[in-house]
Amino acid sequence: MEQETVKMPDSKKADENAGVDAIMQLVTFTLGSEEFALDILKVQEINRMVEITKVPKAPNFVEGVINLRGKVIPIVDIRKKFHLNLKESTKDTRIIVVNILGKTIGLIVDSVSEVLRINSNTIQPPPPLVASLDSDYIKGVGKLDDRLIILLDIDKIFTAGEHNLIESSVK
Amino acid sequence: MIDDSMKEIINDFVQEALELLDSLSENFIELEKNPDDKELLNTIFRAAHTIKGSAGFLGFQNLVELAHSAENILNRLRQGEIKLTSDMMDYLLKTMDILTAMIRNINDTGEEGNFDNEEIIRKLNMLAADEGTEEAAAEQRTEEIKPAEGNFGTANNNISPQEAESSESNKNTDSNITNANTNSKNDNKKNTAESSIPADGSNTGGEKNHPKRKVRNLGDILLEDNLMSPDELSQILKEKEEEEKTEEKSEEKNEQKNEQKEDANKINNTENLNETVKTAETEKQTVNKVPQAPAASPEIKKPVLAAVQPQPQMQQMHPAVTAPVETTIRVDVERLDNVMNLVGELVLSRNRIFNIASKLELKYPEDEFTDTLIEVVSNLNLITTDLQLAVMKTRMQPVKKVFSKFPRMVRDLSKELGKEIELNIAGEETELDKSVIEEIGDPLVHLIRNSIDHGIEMPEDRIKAGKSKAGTINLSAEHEGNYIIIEVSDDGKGMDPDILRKKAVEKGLIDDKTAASISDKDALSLIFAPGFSTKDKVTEISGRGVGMDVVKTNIQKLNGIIDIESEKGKGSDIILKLPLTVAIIQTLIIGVEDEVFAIPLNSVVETLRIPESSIQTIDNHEVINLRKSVLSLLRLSEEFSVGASQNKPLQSAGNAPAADKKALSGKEVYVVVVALAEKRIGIVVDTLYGQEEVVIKSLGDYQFGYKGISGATITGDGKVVLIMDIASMIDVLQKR
Repeated sequence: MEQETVKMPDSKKADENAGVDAIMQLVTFTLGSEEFALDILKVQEINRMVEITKVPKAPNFVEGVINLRGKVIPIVDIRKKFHLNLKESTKDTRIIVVNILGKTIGLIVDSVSEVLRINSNTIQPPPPLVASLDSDYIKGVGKLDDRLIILLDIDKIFTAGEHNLIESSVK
Repeated sequence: MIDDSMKEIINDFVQEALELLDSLSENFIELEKNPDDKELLNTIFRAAHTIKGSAGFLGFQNLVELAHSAENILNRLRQGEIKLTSDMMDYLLKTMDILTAMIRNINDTGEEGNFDNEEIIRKLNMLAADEGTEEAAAEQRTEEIKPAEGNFGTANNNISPQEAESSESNKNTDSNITNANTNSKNDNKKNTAESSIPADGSNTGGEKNHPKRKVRNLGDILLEDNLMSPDELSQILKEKEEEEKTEEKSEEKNEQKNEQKEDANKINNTENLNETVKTAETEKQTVNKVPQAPAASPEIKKPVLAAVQPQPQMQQMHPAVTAPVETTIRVDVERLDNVMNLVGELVLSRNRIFNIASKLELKYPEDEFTDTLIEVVSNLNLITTDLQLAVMKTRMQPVKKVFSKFPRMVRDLSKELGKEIELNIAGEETELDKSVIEEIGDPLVHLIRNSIDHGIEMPEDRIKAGKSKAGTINLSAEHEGNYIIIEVSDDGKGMDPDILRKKAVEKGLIDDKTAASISDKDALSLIFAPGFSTKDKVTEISGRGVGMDVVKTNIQKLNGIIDIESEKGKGSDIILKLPLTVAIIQTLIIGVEDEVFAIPLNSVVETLRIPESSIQTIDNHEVINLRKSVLSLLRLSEEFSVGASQNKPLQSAGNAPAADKKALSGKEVYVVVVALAEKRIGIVVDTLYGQEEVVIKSLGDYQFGYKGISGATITGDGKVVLIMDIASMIDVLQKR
């Protein structure tokens, strides 16, 4: 692993060559007791919880909008999206600002743990009967010591219909 | 073939020419009223000439020919040789139209396009030649008498003082690097003015001025523009004549050299420079005596002054750069928008600092640093406000830009309809934001067309009604606080609410019952309904029922308000109230349950505090009686389904207010009366927080499928506040 650290991991390459040895950098976060991970290249920044402005008649999973340095971006409660039990925000609650298909969206997560570097060959395709989650946006499951990390494909996290809801239906 | 720099030059030309043509058509209408206004004629002539000159320089031959023909007429008009007739005016205006079309074409394609102008040129030439043959001949003679003719260097948009063959002029024209035609110019020194039209075959050879082409001599120009008295001119000409004879030989040498090496002209001419500087100097002084020179506006460069400058270093530059009165620059609107956005951010930051400062003041009163902070903040406040204003001003344009096309329109339409109409324009210097300017053009066209077509009666009808024969349309603009009020009024026959009701029912826009129940004022608003027209027949001018719909849509887009007043038999008055700018707006901050929203203040007519008990229900719609007019109400808490009502099933929403009303019957509520275009509704809210100036942030891609929110803004404390879209609120209420 040491000799490979010089090379910056390229996520796209990693995507294409899943199975081939490559280092991936992942941002891990928790929802309840489960650990999830996102490709670091999809993550723009991680912020503390701020006050969220509710948007009338917005789709259920859209929590509202926030001011991100002068830009107004929508915030999605990922718990709602995954149909998990709702939870009050704590001091650990974070907003992960991601770029999904060219759009900037904030995701509310319980806490952000760390940035992981793992070899792509430790990531395995999702088992066929994986938990309660819809497996489409699960890229795989990473095994690290005794931890199991669910790697999300952020681009697939919203269905086309949900994208349309977030996007302008006006224009 | 056209590279980038050329494109830029052509772009500049197109911009300038279109602006000139704009002002030209306005000037022409003015001229028709005052055909003897010499100053006006001169202005028109100069504008036409500038267009011709620039076009010639860029090689748009067709354009030059057409402009030239028009210029011939103008020149003769100016010299009082012919009189302006209505027929002539029609052709001149038509010429302007063709020129505009050609220039638009150049803008789009970079080519002149195939315009067949033969017919109009022939007509123009005929008009110009009319009763003028004798004078033309005389003119020719005078030209021959004066051997020391001036030259009219149109190619450079510039009068080159080629005082006959003086080397001064030689240098002047040749050293203009942009001139691709140096060679033929030198060949044609004796052919003077013609030389500036590039690639003109007739130019070669040293023949005298072609009599048909009435290009003016510099001497004439100086006289006509009152730059020189005839005495001064003849004095200078005499001097020149002598000088010229002595120079003739060295001149010829120069010419040969020039042919071999055009660019080296400057060096070749240095020997001659000294001899002529004196003359040029004299001339310059004379010219400077009349500082107002020929330029009517900064757009038209002062050609004489620019050209006569004897300093060699000036002549190396492009004439546009040397023009001494360049007071404007063209800036890409995108750049301005960028600055505007940055200022917007700055305003937000200022608001936040302001907020923190006032909190600190409360927390640590009497503290030295707090005091200083407050002082600094209020200073910052002043500066940002000024900056914001200054940036906004860069985007401001006089409403004249839109108004200027109306005299022509009124003239053409009234002629077509056989009506006599006088258009009075007031306040055309009123400035407003570019984006607003762009949107109000079309609505105003429709409003004025309407006044001409429907409002003003035929002359005989007017006399019968005891009015003056000619109808009047008033178009005015004025500032009122942060708004601009544009008013279109006429003294025509006015609108009859009863007829409007009848027509609306006929067209199936409303039913009988509604027709009977709406007030006269609401009946007037019917004209804005799409498809509404009082005309039974569709004519070229009106009758499709589209125009007023356009008015409404555009005004709505700008968050403007339309007010109609009309008295049968006396005329109509349509008042548009528009915001000055669209990026930074004043809002009314309101609260519903725990949520805060902003309503654009320019849509707000008034706010009321009323007891719940005064809300009545008509047809399951909540209304109040406001000064004898019925105002429909929209409860924001229901519409936005915030707070408690969120969990209620939608179908029971209709019954909810009734239940709420009983429980709250003693309570008072706030009603914000909002208006958009011609409609008014009341919005029931829980709290009024006050006014705040906000910068609109587009929600961009994130609309969440709901139109009730038009954008968002960030308030002083950094929170996002959503801005309500009044148009869709009104829609919601109408659909119920």
